[in-house]
This record gives sequence, structure tokens and C-alpha cells, in this order.
Amino acid sequence: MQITHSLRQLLMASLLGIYAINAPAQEHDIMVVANLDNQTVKLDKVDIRNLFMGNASDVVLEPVSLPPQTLARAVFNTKIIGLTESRIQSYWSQMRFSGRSRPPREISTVDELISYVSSHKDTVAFVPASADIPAHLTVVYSTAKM
Amino acid sequence: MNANFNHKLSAAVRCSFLMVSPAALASSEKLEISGFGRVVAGFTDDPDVSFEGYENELSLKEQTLLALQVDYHLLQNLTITSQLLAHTNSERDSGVEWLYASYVPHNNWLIKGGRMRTPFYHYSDVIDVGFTYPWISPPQQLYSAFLFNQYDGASVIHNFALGNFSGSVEGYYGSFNGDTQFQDRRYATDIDGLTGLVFSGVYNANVRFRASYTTAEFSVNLAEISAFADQLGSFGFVESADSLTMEGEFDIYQVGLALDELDYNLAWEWMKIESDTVLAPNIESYYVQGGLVFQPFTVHLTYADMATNPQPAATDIPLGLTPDLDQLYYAYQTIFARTQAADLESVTLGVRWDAGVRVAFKAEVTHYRGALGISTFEALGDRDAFDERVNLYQVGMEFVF
Repeated sequence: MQITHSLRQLLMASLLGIYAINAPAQEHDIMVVANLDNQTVKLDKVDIRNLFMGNASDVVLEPVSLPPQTLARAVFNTKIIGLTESRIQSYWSQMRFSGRSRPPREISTVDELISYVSSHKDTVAFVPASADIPAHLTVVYSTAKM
Repeated sequence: MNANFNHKLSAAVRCSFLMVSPAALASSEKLEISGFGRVVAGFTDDPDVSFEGYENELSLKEQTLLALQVDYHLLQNLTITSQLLAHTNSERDSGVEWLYASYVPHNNWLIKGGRMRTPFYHYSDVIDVGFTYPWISPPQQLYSAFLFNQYDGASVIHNFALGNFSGSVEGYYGSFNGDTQFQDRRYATDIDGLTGLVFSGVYNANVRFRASYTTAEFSVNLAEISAFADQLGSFGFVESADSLTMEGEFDIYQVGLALDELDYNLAWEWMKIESDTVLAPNIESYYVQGGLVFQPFTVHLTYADMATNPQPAATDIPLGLTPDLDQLYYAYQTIFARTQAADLESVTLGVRWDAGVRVAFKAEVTHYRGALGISTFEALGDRDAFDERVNLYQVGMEFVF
């Protein structure tokens, strides 16, 4: 479906474009990092979606997120979750107010997020692809071409 | 907002703070306060009937509400949750909507006990949280207040993963003793042996599936109708009396499927209610909904239909024997006709504007086609004046915090 495809590109451009028109290409990429004993683990998109949407998953990790209206979160929503921030907020309202599950813990800056994940085993978070990551963390997924 | 609403609200707020001790307030990690609300205005273009409380005059009170949820984490895996609701609709109770304890014995298990919402359909347990769905009024054919919306009991939920499928099974059991609303009136209701099984899942993280089965014994006191039925029974017209008695067993089957993408969504939900009671006819309803996302706007279109399968009136009152019996016969026929459900078809066009992270504005128009009936339209005057077509216009604001 050509129309859907171009509509999606337009939407993605509008979602990402509002943050930084002149941002370098890498700003529009994120990586997913985890604090794991086994540093060879890789996750696929579905694993990551399930973890961050509170669905049961074969991988048991605590997801940690950045707040809405941060660039990395917009990239993560668009490229990994595949839903708009509004749709994600609706979803979490349904989960919270029906007593089923709660959204991931939110940490306000990338530096604090990295330091939280560094010091907590079995946690997972998304950060800008350009972020400096301590050696003991594992990059389990990246949207950048490697 | 009227004074009554403010009063209810302040009572609800006071109540929520009384329930947590000062020590709890000091430890913010243990206590979470969140909430939701909606302001909805609507009117119909038909002066002959009322529909879900709406008439041909702008009303803000039918669906406007404010709720607070207090979660207190007693232990890491034991939480007490209370939801307090203040509603502007005088036909709905304001007060404690939920009060339950939830316990997580293991990562994939959740056990809840207390007063909860009945999870009949996809949005049943968040029906007051308009922020969670695209419409202002979810398809009435499934989501009307025809059913009670709370129960007292216990629920066990187990989550599991199978490759790209992430699923959950919920079993619940309980009872309900309170009111059921039909149109704009409430009737005392007893529900016993409420048993439900819900199977839901997500495939590839964006295709959602839900199937459920619910069964219970019910008894609804329809006030003057029940009084008339008792009278018929005392005259020995048992068949007629039974046909006006809202008592028996019901079974509800539900299946739903939804696809969520970045730029569009599709949803379908179907349900069937079966009952052995003449007054509670078998009902089959479904809706199909599609939405297009033009961030921050979502435009959506829904078609919904409800087909009822009415049962024939009783025939044990003889006609033409004595004037007294004739009068009884006609009284019975009239009351029986007025307790019947009618089919309802609708098309809804709506728009949702996500103005902020936790605030959305909505506008929608629904075109309804259906006859007068116990769960559809109620005549305001001459029953024959109604042309069985109504447009309902609504605007609303939804928020969560």
C-alpha cells in the first residue's frame, strides 16, 4: 500500500521533526541497553515491545523509560513500539485504571537513566545511539545501521 | 458544575485521604495517587425520545465525572487499591467504585480480591476512563449500562509468553448486590454465582485478541412491573407472571480483535447474551471501528449493530370472557410490549485530538436507527410520533493524572 507507506513516512517525519530539524542522523537512532550477566544476549523488536508494554515475555527484565516529549522516547515509540505517544498513554491508562499493570519507571535525563541501569541488575532502557555506555552494560538492540 | 457534584467530589477526596494513614503519606514510594475525569456535553436532534439520558437539549450531566485512584503498596507484592468516583448523573452512585487488594505471588501471577469492575468486554473495566478509548460513548450495543458494572469477589490472572504471542488468562468469581440501570432508571439487582473466564493476548505486540465467557444467576426487581407480575401470579396466571419476571440465568460470550499501527487502527468486537428469561431477550451485538491517525488527531468511524430475539407474550389470560379479565389482558399486553428490547443500528463519526500527553478533546456524531425499547429509546410523549431515527451530538474533554 503506497499511500499508507508515504503517510507513515510523513507521520514519522512529523513525529521526529518537531524535536530537532538540524539534529545529526544519529540523534534519530536509539539503542536498547541492559544490565545483564550474559553479555551475548540480543533482543528482537517484539521482545522489547513486550517488555516496555508490560506484556509477558520470555525475557524477564525491568524496563526503565525516559519521560514523554524527549527525543529518544519519540524515536523509541516510532521505531520500536510502533504507536504514537497518545496511544501509549491511553494504553497505560487502561492498564492502570483496570488494575492490571503499571507503566515502566521514568527517569528524567539520559545520564540518570544510564546510571540507574548501571547500578541495577536485570534492568533495560533505551538511550540515544550517541550516548556513552559503561562497559558492563550490554547493547541488546540498536536502530542504527551497524 | 452543580453544587451536588462539588459536594460529592469533596466527600470523595476527603474519603480518599482518610483511608491512608499519615505515616503512609510520608512515604511517597508506598503511595500512588492518580485519577481521571471527563466533561461531556451532548444532545439529540429528536424531541420525541430520550436516549441514555440525552434529550433534545444540551446536557453536561450524563457522563461528566471525576475519579481518584489511590494505590497503597503495603509490601512489594501486596497493594491496596481504591477508586473513588464523583458523577454528575444523579442515576449513578458516587463513592467507592473499587476497593481491592492485589497480590503478586510470582512475576506472572496476579490475585485480586474485593470490589472490582466486571470485565465483560474490552473496555468494560475502564468504561468511565474515556481517555482510554477513541469514542465519547463506546458502542451502546455492547457497552450500555444494561449490565451491572461491579462485583464483589476474587480474580486470578496468569500471564504467559509463547514466542511472539503474549497472553493472559483471567478467572473470576463473585456476586453483586446493587442497582442496574436501564435507560435512565435504576432497579435493585441481585447477581449470584458470577463466574467469568477471560482469555486475552497480543501477537507481535500490536494485534490484540480477547475472548471471554461470563455466566451468573440474576434477579432484577422492576418495581411496578414486578408488582404487576406478583398480582398476575396471585390470580393464577403463572405464565404471564413469569414473562414479566426478570429472574434466571444468563450467559455472555465475547470475542474481540484489534490492530494498532502508528498511522491507523482497526477494531472489531462481538458479543452474545443468552438467557432463559422472557424479559431478558437473547441479544447479539458487534461493532467494527477504523481510525486514521494524523498526529495529534485521530479520525474514526464505527458501525455497530444489536439484534434482539424477542420472545412471544404469554397466552394464559383469556380474552372476551369478562370485562375484568379483558382489562387485565390489555394491561398485560401493554406492559409486556413496553418491556421489550429493540434492535439498534448506528454509525459514529468522531475525532480525537490529543492536545497534551494526558489530555484529549473529542467530538462525535452518531446516527441511530432503532425502535422504542427497554435498552434503546424511551418515548417522552406520544409513542407513535417517533420516526426511529436519532442523531446524537457530543463533545468532550478527557484527562488522566
